[in-house]
Amino acid sequence: MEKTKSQFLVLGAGVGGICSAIDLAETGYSVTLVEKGPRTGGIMPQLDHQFPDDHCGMCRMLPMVDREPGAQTCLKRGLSHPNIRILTHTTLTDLSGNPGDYTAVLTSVSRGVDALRCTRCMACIDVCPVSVLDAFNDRAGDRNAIYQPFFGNPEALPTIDWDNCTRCGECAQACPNSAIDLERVELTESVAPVSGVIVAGGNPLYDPAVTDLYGYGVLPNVVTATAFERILSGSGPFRGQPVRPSDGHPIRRVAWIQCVGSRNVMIGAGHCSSTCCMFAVKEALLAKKTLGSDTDTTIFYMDMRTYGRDSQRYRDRAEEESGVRFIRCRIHSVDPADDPGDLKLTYLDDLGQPGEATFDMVVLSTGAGVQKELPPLLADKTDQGAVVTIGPEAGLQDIRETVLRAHGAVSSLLEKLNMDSRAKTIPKTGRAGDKSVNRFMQQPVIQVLVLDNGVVKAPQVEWPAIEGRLERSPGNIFVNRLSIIDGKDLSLELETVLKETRGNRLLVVSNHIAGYRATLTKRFEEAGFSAPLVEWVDLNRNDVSMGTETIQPDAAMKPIQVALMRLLHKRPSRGMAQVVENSALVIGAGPAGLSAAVSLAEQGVVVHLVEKEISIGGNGPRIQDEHQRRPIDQLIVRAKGHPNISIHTGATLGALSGRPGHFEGWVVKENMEIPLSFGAAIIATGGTPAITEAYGMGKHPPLVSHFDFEKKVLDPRFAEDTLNTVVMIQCAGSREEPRNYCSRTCCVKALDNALRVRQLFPHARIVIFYRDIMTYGKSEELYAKARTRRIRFIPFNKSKPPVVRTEGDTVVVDGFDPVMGEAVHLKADWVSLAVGMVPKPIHDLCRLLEVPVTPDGFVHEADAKWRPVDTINPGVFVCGLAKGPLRADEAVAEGTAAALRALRLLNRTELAPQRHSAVVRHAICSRCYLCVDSCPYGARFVEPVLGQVEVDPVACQGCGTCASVCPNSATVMGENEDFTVMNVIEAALM
Amino acid sequence: MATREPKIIALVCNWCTYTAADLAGTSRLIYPANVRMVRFMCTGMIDVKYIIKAFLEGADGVFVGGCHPGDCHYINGNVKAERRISGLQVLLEQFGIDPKRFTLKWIGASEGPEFQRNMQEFTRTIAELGPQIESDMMIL
Ligand code: FES
Repeated sequence: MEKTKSQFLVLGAGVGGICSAIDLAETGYSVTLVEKGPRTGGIMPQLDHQFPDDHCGMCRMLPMVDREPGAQTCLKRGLSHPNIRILTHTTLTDLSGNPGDYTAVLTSVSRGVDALRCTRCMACIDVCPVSVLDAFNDRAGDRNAIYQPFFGNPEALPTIDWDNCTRCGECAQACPNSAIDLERVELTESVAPVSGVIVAGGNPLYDPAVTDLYGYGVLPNVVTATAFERILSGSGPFRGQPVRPSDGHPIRRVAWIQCVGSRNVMIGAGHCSSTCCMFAVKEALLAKKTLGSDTDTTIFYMDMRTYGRDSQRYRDRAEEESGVRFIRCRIHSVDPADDPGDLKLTYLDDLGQPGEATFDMVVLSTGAGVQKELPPLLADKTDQGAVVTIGPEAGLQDIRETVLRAHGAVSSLLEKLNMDSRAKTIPKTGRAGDKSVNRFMQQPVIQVLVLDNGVVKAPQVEWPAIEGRLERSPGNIFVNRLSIIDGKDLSLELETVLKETRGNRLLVVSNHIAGYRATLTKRFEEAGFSAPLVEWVDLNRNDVSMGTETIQPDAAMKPIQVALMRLLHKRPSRGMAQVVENSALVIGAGPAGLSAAVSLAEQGVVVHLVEKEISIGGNGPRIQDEHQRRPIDQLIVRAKGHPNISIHTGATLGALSGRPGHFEGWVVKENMEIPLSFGAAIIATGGTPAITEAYGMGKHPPLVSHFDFEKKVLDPRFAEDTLNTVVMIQCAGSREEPRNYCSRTCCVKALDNALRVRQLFPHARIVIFYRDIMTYGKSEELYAKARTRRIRFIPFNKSKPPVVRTEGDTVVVDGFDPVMGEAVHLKADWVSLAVGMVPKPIHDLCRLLEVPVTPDGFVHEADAKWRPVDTINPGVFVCGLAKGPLRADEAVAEGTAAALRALRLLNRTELAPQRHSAVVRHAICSRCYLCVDSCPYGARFVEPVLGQVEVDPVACQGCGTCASVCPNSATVMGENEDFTVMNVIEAALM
Repeated sequence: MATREPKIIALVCNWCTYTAADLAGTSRLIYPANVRMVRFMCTGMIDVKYIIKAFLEGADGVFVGGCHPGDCHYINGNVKAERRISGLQVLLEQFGIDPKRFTLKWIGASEGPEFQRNMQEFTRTIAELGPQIESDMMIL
């Protein structure tokens, strides 16, 4: 692979850090990912399940296009990418120079364990006398002072926790290979030139021990939400058999208390932490799944902030189908109940009735903690543009938001540094002329490298027996044995073997390989054995060694035979590389579309911006607040004046053909058809306020939408009238079927309007009927402010909404105020309704682009959390209201994120087919087209002239569904074709 | 009946069940050694003929493991696999293979102990059934 020129530093290897590192690496830059802690992944390895599909799915962040260089599996267990260097236990200690050309100084702390000598036998961990509360399990379990930070990665190294290590030396003594060094060493290196820095420091969670809330730290059965997730986890302290921490009793009744450390001005935390509501719902469902569906799960909340597109339905399902109980109240305190270990909660429910309940465990939904300050080192460089932070100003974010922000940060960094990404070198694999490719073309000859590792604890193997069997196996096989004794440098011997070998495939067999793999891979690569040409068999695995000290040749041969078979059938990728056009089509010129277009254009991409209306800006110009409108006005100006953007207004996309990387189509404008060709498309068609008949909207003039009411309030004439009462009703026609989602913007709009009215009419009566006030993040402050301005908030249940009726000429709203315990009848001058947003009709467009649509008419993204702006069509991206309700500033941010994702595709000059991609053997294809329907990616299509089934090698992800439905075996799965698999099965059962 | 160790083959998806097996390995959970693993990208690519082939090659039990529904890396390969494979039980019976010798399970990446338990259980079932006798298989 060719070396990339510019390099970037990413600080923090949590979700945001990993995401931006992959983005940069895939855009063709090299990245140094720096993490202070012992491992990558942030909070992810601690969580096994996420809303909405109740699984992890982090691996979906890995490259889907041209994915071979980043081929790997589970991101929770670590990350490997040829363009990313990962440094754990490392901090940035100095940054000097100018934007685009910084010099960074990095300081790393030793792990105390030698990676090459350690056999991961974990004897050290077993003898360590120190026991500390395990932060990984959020204090729900213990660990030793030497521990394995990467649970579930067989190659992860134990690490010494220097703060807690007593230097007693037990571990060093127990280590059979003297791999432990008890001296803490600091190493400094300088990295230059660094083009830019992304700071992804993450957000600490609130620590309830600080304020001693709800008995946390005193009552052992009161835990944080993270700790509870660990308790339930298969890799947690109870290994998937969760019991109550205090006494090991089964867990039958669990309560969640929301807003711990958030929405509480008394402790200086006025914000909403945005994520905890969905976290609690998910966890309640998870508890039901793990502990039994009859487990009593109750969530005590103030507002359930289900403001995501799919969140409300998820919550409803939890309540209606799974029986999770939701009680609106603020819990005063948690007390020990009569039975030891049980916990008693007393509360007033939403009808004002006192209630009391006893639980086995209480889970605190802890929100964001105190934000870390950016070190001065970085802080004074942020305005230079080359040091970008991933959204700390927005507070705690869920995965989706973090991923979006990471995309956005990379995009703005590249934009500011004015990098024309096409000029950069993109990792190239499998190109003709490459030594590895030539090797691929040859008849397989296998060079076996037996690496006999001399470390004591590695299982002993009778190598001659194995070598003998290998040599007798069919096929051209050569065997060489190299001994690794005491971490000896192998390079010379290895070089000779690699140079002199007649083999064109490599099989590495060892009794202990962890620690060497990375260096060896690099060596092999240099010698022309790219990763696909190499198979590894590590015999130091539980399923081979069964924990015994000597490995029987029979047991060893099983995995070796499978690997041999695989190698014998490796073949190069077939099919043609596809040329990528450096241009994009953006459909819709609202805030999201404009932002995507400008961002792409700035990075050298030719953009066709197509807008149905006759002017551009979408909902932007209708925004009344000047402060919010200004950035969109600026985008309009920039788009109009940009040489790379051609704007087609009053136009729609008429037809489309082609595949990701190269589409052709035309836009229809006033009966004209303008042909266009482009490499990627971004859907940004936007949305409009919904039309509803709820509450008699449209029948009585005083009934208006929040949008219209806003216009009225801002009209100077409004203040001249008299005004006694304004009533606002939230969620009119939304958050219940058929429009069962929250539109995210209406609560803030209602509060804004209410505060404006209050300013004009200090004595008017302002009443807001609401179900849950969705002021997530910072906007919570607006809610707090409104409550101090004598604005009356009356909650209602969706089954008992307020009633709007007329009495002569006046409109009256009837409702019930549970807080005061009284019925209210309000004669209103105005009744303003939160009508919510709906997407523009997009079914036809999405059919053209082969992208699915949700039942509500939004574009269905590839993955709600991990690939929020991708669609399953690798050449089509989506942003803004077309994908789900959001604020204008969020739409702008999503636009840049979508631009970056498109750029990852567009910055390649061509796309090589992958080894896993499917190929059709036309001679035996009977054209039943079953495969075309079965492909989840729409990668198969019928070639119109000959009627043959063709596969787009880029869209094809190699899942093999097509091959297994094909009645004639006419579809061949790259490396996993029938012939190979049959042989592998045979080998495995030998 | 010859007494030999049961031969069990596990056809697993790369993203979930294989990862779970790795996790079981690192957690030092011992599972029976007679399980041979063959890795596929997705259960969606596991053709019925692979399972038959495994029996023909002398497997006493075939285990297929993939991601939980909704968690498939390729959107819905596992669901398709389930649909396809559900017909197999009947077919096996007709071929003279006890359908209990074949099982399909969803094991997530974080479910190491789950993987171990499944392996132990399946091995036990197969051991009880005894080896698959070749001449019982009608296809031959
Ligand atoms: S990827 Fe695991 S079953 Fe499809």
